Amino acid sequence: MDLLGTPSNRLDPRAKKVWRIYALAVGVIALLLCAALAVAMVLIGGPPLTWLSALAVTLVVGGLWMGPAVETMYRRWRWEITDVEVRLQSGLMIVRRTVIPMARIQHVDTSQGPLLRLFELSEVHVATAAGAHKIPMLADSDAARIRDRIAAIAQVTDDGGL
Amino acid sequence: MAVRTAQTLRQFGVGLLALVAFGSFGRGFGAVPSLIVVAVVFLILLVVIGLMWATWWRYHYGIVGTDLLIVEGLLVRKRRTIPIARVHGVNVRAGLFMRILGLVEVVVQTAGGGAGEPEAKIGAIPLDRAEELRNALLHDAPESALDTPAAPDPVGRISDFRGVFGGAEVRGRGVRFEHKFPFGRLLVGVITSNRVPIIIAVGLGALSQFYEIAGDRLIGETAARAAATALPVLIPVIFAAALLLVAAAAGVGIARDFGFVARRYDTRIEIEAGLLGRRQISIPVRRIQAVRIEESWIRRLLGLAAVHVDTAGLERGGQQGQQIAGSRAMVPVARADEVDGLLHGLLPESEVFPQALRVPARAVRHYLLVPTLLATIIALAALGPTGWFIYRPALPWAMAAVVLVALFAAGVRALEWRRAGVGTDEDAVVFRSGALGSRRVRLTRSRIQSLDVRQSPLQRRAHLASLRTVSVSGSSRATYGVAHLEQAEALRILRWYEDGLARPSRLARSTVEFRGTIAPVSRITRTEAVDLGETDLAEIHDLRTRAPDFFEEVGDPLPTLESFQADLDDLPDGYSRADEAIYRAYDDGSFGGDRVAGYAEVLRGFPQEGRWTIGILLVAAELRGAGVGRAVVDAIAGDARAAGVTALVVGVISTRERSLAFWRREGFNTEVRRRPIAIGNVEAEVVRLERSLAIEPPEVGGPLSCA
Repeated sequence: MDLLGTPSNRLDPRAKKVWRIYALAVGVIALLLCAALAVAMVLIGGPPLTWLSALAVTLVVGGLWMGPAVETMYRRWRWEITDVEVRLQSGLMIVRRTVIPMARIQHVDTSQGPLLRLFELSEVHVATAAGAHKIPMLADSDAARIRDRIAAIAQVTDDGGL
Repeated sequence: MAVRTAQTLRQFGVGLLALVAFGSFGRGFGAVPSLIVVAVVFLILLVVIGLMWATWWRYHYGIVGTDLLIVEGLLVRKRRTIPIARVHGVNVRAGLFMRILGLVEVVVQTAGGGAGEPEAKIGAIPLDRAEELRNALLHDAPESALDTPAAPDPVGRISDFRGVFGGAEVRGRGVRFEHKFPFGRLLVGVITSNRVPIIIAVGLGALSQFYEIAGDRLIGETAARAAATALPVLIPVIFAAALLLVAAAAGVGIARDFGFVARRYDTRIEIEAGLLGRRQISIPVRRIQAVRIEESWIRRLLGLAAVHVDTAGLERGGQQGQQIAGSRAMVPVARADEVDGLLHGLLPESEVFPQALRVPARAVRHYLLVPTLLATIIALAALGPTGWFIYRPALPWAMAAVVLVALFAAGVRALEWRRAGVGTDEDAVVFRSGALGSRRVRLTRSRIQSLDVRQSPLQRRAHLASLRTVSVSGSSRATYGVAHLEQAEALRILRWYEDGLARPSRLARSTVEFRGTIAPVSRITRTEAVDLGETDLAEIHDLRTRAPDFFEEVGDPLPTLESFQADLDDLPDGYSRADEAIYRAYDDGSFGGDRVAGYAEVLRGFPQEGRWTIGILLVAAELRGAGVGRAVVDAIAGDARAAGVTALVVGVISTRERSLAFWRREGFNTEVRRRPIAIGNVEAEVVRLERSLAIEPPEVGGPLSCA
């Protein structure tokens, strides 16, 4: 059930893997914290309930995140570039639809960190006078194509309404 | 033109520092022979003064040809050339000390962009030279210096920006409107602003700090003395102290806004204010991003309001890297009924605020739910443990307090729901917000940098959505919006935003392929009328029952399957179903299924060869205003163009005002003829409108055409 009038393009399918890797990293840290808490509790003889519940929460949240949450986020993430605007849609619980007119775009960049580089993915940043919007996790070639297309179209316009 | 006494100002600053240093040295380093200390300080002072003088010596500014040229730098020469054409505004500032000397500081604002700082600061030049410079940079021809006689009173003198010791005032020509704010009004404004509570809070904080430092003994003594003092004496004392605080706060505020003058020139607004330190700020009208009319609850009681504007600051701050303030007061305080007149004089481009319509009634649940829950949880977390663990007898009081907090939160949110609203007109959107107070923000469409619509699962079920615009304010951004809006209204505003976007002229607009705009449509199909089967008919009949107002509007009975079939066959002489095509738009599942959202009947070759007539266009009631109609018309136009048709025709009954507005918006603005028709007892007309397909529709005006 998406918001009315969905943009047509999705992110690269490898995005799910990257999100899961991020989640794994956070999960590992959380588990380490639980372990630390457990050790601390054992040392001071505190109730096992604290670290057991922390562990339970971590596992449940982690499980939910790795599975359905990433799936939903991937399915929800949409983007579309038309002649006059960039349309984005994203969100897990709260679905957000954003419209950025070509006339307001001041510049467009692509970037990738080491993890994204491993998967040959890039992010596209679309900057207006009031801040930037991001399309994460696109294949390198797609990202470059979008960047060039937006740059070509946005050039035709004025000083961004300022 | 040389800078005269910049060094004097800086000398004094340095001198003060030196004195402070000297003083602390004297106290702390008793062992060191004082003579050496004095010598060292003297040496430092000499070096600093020398440097200051050298900086002044090497600083030159002037107008050369069509540029402002600034050359400065001691060792490394820096040369800045600012074309006068790129100067947006000139701000003039002077603190009390500078005004006594008759000097001001000039800050030149340029269009920025690319390398180089967006501001150029020229410090400490004489006032008359500064005003000549300003007039030269902003193309204002100076009036004769004798035009305005000197004000007779000393207070007027101070507020005239001429320093305590007077001097000729040179004002630029081309003032279209000017308003001097009366002192009494400004005073009330300052007292009712949020400065006073802040300063009181700061004062109280300082007081408590003082007591901490002074120690328990002093507190004890004061407490004893306070207890000893009789009540009739104590209360006036406290009252007097409070009054003093308020007066101090008001004094600070008034010193800042004294003699507030707002002027409108051709392309900029100028604001001049200040008692001891006076400032003159220019705001290019082109840089205004949003206009806010604010009425705090106090001011509403007194019938006052204020107007603030968001301006586009330039890139990252001036030479000192400070953040540019985005929001300025254009009208610090005025009577609520004066605001219209002031806006008309100062900013006529933005004086029309579209009517804001309130958010729907059922949104009140959503306004209340989350904040009340949050407030309750926080109150519980704060007060609960206290009552449970620490002081059990206080538990009922703690619970009562929690309930009160929840009620308060709910009350505030209910007020916010009542006030919330949004509206659009041709060029701008207005958001209304506030609880006890009221705030209306107007944004021209071209100033909105991006727009988003958000929907949580709860909102989706209730067909509500939240809307937010992002615009520039100073060197950062401002977001304005409204929560829990009718979903269709949110989408309508999204469409309104998209409709105003400039289409790059070199890219032709293609209408054949269904471009997937925001309309909630997954596909549009075309079927020949002769090929319609039972399921097709049933589908379309279902749609017709979902738009009963279409039929009631003209007094027709509610549609049935038979009346639908009859309508399909009700064609002019010489035409049959073979000339008819049916277009159907299917909704993309958001409204609960793959249903027909809208349909149209098209008669080919009517009224003449080479023209198509749209006999009927119907959209389901719950999807009106979301772009379904436009999508269908676009599809029909695409097919028509491909078939070499030169014009589309439609006949609209004149009482269907919304339909008429729709068709006109879709480019059907050539009226071909009118035919009288009787609807019940009402005399109406069938208006035949035509849209030519041979010429591209006119381009939408670009953002530079709006303020």
